[in-house]
Amino acid sequence: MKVQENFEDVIAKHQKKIYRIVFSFVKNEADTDEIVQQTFFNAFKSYKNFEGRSSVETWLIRIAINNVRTHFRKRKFFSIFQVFSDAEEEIKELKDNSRSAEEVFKNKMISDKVNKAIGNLPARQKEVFVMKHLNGLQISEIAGILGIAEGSVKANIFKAMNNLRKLLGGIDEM
Amino acid sequence: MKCDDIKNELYFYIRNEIDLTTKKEIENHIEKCSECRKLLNEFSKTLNIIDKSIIEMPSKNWNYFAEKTVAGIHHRKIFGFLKPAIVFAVSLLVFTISYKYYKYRSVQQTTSLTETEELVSYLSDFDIPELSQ
Ligand SMILES: [Zn+2]
Repeated sequence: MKVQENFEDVIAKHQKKIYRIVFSFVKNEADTDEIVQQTFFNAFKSYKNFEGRSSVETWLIRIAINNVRTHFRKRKFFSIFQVFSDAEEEIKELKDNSRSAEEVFKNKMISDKVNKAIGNLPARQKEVFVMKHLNGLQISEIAGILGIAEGSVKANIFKAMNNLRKLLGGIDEM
Repeated sequence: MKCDDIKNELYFYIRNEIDLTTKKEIENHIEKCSECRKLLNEFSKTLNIIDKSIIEMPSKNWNYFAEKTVAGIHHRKIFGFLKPAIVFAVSLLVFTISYKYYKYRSVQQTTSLTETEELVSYLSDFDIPELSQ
């Protein structure tokens, strides 16, 4: 199969960037693995119809973002069952670290608060901020992926920053 | 630039991702405008906190992951096709079993007695010589 051979190159070339983007949203290796693989499967199915209106990379990121959105929709639905596994993971993480328990606890509290604050941003602000700040994508790239104007990307960065400032205001700088 | 334009650039100013002209413009504005100055301060603090709690991406064996992704594509191709069929078959089976069970239960509840009576009455008696003696 010729398409398959080409597609293996596509995977090899883009997987790292796609993985980084998905991980910065879901922050969990197992879920990221699943979403990235689903993304390449979706891409594989429609690769022969790919028209080159954007770069392959932008196209893949768009598919990945869609899958991230689906993931969060599902998670919202099943969130009642999530409580226990989250608690288990927290304990595991605490055990993994050799630093003093107090420090670990403090850092954990802060990073939880930060992740929660980013996670609770309105969808568009979250997507723009995560792509820009956590992935270092260019403003023009983000505008292309989301199909919005560059000015709108910048405005959303500001809105996200302003919300995060309010949400994280209580935390002292260390 | 007006305050609103300055505010949209603050993030990029902190990250040093702007051209020199815009940078100068922002610095001139900040000197005069206390509101934007305050915002700039708070944005830098916020970004410091965020940057300290960034979760690092797990290190991966990318060759292996690519192989897994390719295998995953084949797997999904097969099971993506089979999945609806399996779901349909299982639900059909569950429906059939529960329907049969329901029928069996209702039959048992309403007619079991008479059926037994009928069956027993139909049988001819055993010939027991001792009894006739
Ligand atoms: Zn101002």
